[in-house]
Amino acid sequence: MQSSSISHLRPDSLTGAVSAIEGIRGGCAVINGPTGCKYFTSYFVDNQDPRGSSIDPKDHQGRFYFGQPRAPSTYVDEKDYIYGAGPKLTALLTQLNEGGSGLIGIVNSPGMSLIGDDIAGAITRAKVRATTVVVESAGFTGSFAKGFQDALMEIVRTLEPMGKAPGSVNLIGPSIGHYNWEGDVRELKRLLELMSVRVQAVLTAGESLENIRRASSASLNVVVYEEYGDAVAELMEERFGIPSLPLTTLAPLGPAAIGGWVGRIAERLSVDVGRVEREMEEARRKCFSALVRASSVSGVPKGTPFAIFGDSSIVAPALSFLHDYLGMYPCLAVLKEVGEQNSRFVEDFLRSVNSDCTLLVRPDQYQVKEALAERDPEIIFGSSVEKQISRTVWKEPRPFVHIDTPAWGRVTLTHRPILGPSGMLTLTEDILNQLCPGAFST
Amino acid sequence: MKSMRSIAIYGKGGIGKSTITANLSVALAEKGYKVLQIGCDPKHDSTRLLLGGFTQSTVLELLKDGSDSPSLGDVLMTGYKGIKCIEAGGPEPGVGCAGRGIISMTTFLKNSGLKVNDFDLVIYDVLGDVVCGGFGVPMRNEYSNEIYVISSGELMSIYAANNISKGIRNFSNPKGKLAGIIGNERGVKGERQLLDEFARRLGSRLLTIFARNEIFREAELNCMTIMEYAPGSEIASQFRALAELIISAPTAVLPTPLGEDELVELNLQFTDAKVLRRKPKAKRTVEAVVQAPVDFSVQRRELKREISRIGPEEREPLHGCTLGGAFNVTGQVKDCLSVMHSPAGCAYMSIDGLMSIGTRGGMSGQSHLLPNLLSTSIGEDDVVFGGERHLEELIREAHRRLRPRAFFLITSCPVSIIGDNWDQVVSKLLKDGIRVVSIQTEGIIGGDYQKGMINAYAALAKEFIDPEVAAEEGHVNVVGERNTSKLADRNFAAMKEIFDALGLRVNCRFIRDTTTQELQNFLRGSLSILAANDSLCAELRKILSDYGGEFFDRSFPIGFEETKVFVERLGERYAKEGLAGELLGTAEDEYRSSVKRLKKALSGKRVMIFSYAQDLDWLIGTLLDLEMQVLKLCIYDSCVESAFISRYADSVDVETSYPAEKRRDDILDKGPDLVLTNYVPKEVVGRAVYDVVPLSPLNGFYGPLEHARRWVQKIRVPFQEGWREDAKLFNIPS
Repeated sequence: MQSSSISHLRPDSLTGAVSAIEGIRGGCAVINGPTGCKYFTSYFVDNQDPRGSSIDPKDHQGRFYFGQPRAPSTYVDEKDYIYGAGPKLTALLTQLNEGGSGLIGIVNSPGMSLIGDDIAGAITRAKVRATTVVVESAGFTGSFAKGFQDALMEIVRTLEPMGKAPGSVNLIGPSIGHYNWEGDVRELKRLLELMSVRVQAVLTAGESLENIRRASSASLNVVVYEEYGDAVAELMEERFGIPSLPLTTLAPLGPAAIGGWVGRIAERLSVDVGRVEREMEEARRKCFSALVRASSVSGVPKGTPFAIFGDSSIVAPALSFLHDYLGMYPCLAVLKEVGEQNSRFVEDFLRSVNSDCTLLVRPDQYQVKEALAERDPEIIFGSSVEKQISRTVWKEPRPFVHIDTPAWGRVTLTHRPILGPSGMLTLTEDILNQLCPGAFST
Repeated sequence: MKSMRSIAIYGKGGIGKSTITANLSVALAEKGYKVLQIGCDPKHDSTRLLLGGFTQSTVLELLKDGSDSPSLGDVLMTGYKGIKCIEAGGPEPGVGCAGRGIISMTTFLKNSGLKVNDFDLVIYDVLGDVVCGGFGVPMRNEYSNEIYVISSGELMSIYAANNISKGIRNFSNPKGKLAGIIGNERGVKGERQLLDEFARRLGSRLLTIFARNEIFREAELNCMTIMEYAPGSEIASQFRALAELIISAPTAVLPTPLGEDELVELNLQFTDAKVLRRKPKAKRTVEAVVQAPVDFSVQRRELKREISRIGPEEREPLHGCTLGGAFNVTGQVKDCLSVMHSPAGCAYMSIDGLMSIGTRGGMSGQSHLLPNLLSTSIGEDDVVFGGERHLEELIREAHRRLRPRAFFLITSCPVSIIGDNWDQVVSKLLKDGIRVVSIQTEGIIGGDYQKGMINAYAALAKEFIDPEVAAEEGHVNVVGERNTSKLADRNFAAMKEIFDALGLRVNCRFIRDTTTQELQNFLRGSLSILAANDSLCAELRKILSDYGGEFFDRSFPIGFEETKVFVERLGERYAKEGLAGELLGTAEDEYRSSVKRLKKALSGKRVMIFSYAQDLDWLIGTLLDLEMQVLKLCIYDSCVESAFISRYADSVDVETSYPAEKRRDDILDKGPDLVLTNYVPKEVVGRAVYDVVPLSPLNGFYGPLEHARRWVQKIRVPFQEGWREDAKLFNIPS
């Protein structure tokens, strides 16, 4: 048990598993569970990755959809818990045969994973034509990343070995649950393109099923987010002999981590990084120009105490960027998803900079509130959850920068990644706008 | 043997499965086969005789200990003749879910790196009858190629074997997988013939039958299999013969289980017992067995409920679950803490439901965010071994740290399925002075979202409302505000202006942004006013009527006319007609002057309305005040709204149960200037301007005028926005 964990303030493993499948173009996740589990999950995937053009319930009146465009469910009730939901699942899968999904992922809700429903039998009876994967148990209190990775492993198990495509990579870990995932995926692909590296498949955010099926032919696996991809990379190495970049390679957030990420890929694939370096130079030039002004007018961001909330794979490179590059002072770091290598980096980093930063791992909302009050950061990086908690601590809202899901009440359409050179600009821009609004008009 | 074969051995509890399985494993190992035996029984004694009486660590013990990286090496032991042994283990009797334990074990083994293909035979020794899906897992095609059933000639043993055959039928591949019956004598008359006939009727055959023999007991007392204890014995030879038979892969069949009557008749053929009573032909009904006097209506309801539980007919889907609905209410009590005995995801979904989904991406604007909520965040260990201890620990810890006035316990499907006894936990906590209010929920098992809300309202009323508190004139209660509506606080503010103008004070908001003190003093409110005229508020009125107190006959009004009547009646009720008159005078002037301005742009415009909401008089009244023409009112069916009733029903063209597919043609046919709908469709047709009508509109005199102002602005701009033309680019089906 993860007693009173902040994990209940984040989407869970069921949502993670559904997101892994629904993130694939041509993928359809079926929730074998009650509508109570369906409504949020379906809303979440459609909100994070809008596919259809209507949310009018009248446009989604199919028996298993309940007015929502995504993730149909078997609307399990008490009787189904006793006798199984096989007939409904068979009917749902039969209906999906007409929809043309290339991949169907059946995910048991916590209740249904208890009873051991005969999913294989339903697949047979429905004569399902699509590739099917089954997530028997999305976990009772698993993290989003765990659910994502479990479902992705099932997908990887359906892949066939293929001949290797030289100079190509898979990006493992981006999920539609990540904050502003589309911007980050686009930025990573752009960076790799600058190095003439071909992305065979993104596993899985926004990727086509066709490309996912080609993932076994990549020359190198790049785990972008450790918590979402370490076990998948291991499985792919075992099944298809694809080596991975070491998990100690930080996600490319901030100049140092971008340099490390790009450098290691270039070394493994023997490609040139000249164009990326020129891009980085341009981004640094822009940042410099803004920072030198902000710094001379208001003295920020140097020394500004900050709190950061996120997965270890984001917090690790972000700490380095905020501390080493912008000169900000870490006073509170909170890890939500924990990758072994990235969390070790966070600990070592904080020790090496002699910070008295408070480090919390999956705290509950009350511990977050206490820590915010005690450490008194001047700017907070995180999700809407921390933003709301901070509102209960201080009367005036604190400067806040979104780097994590959920982002309640926000829409982002512009290219605003947090990774890569463009991400460096996004973060610097947000930080300066939050810390010294109006400073540039003086 | 060419490739790995996986077999499962089933049979009634106590029939000797483990003894037979262990001896069979040795007989196979003696022939040079690599064997893995997996015990699937919470009492974890399948492999004991192979390990010289040693009780090995089980997979579920390992998982329960919460090791960060549980390793196969911790649970895989090597027994007699090199046989590899694994035990699933399970919870103590009466707690948790042993079936789930089997699922957890198979998942662990799948991910543990166990290379099953290194073995010639994997043998699952599975507990008793197929009582739930968990114990059925080894039957599945991905786990076993063939199944053997052990039975004696005793009726219950054959009954269990027959039931197992039903399970095998459900899980079989098309060719079937019942490979035979193994007999274990219990001294029943004609036992061999009986089992032979039973096997034949199943479509299978009796492979062998072990006679009762003291040597079984002797070997067991020496912590050995017979194969080790008495390798030269006749029984050992019989095991070797059975092993040969199994290696030869006997034909597996799709069993044809017997009916209950046939089963009894079969047993009667092989007994001399006199039959004094036969099984009744028909099931006795509830009415037939109850003694008068009884309330038959109650009995019929119960019977109907029972039938509805087990009937084959398609049932009405439930929308959302009680857990989310209950939290919608309990999360509003500021000085208390809701505790969900649930997976963490249930808690997150409930919070997001209040913060985001209900308002589709917008914030619900609640001032006391985040709601007070903890979750037991149940894990695999809780569902297998029971989660009561964790629930108790969490509440005690939260009580120590946070000192809320009370805890509200909300339960989920999984803890109900595993049979956690949370009432017992609540009793213990209450004894220790920790106030816990248990809300009847159990996830979807308890009902839908609205049922959860109603149960929570009822529980909180019962727990807190003090019947001794006397009503005070001038104090009113507000009942049933919609907590998921982003307008809820604006609505309250609009109504509070009216109460303030009449010199009335809000005593308790039941239940939004409330304290236990306010709930306790609920009866101080001399009048309770419902926030809406819907089915939920009707239920709330019923609940609260038990506590006495007066209910106002009008709910929160929408639009000028409704609000005018509301103010007049409220003024009369409190003998404040003067103040009411003053308020109405000012409001009417302001309303009329706004209407006059708006009419210039809107008068004569033709309107069609499409709505899930059934109560639309506020909207029609406003349209008529603005001299607009209502062409048609199209009312969709709704699972939450009451039936359509309108004072304009005779003067406006209304179609209830409106089919959405008619919408396009109707709009083209009638050619409205303005289409008002709850969701603007992706494809706007005709030359109409579209606008959204909220499901929960703004209360008070001026709410509808806010919409009218928007219509004026919308009519001034091109009827179709440029971006709508890009629908043609959006070729992904919705």
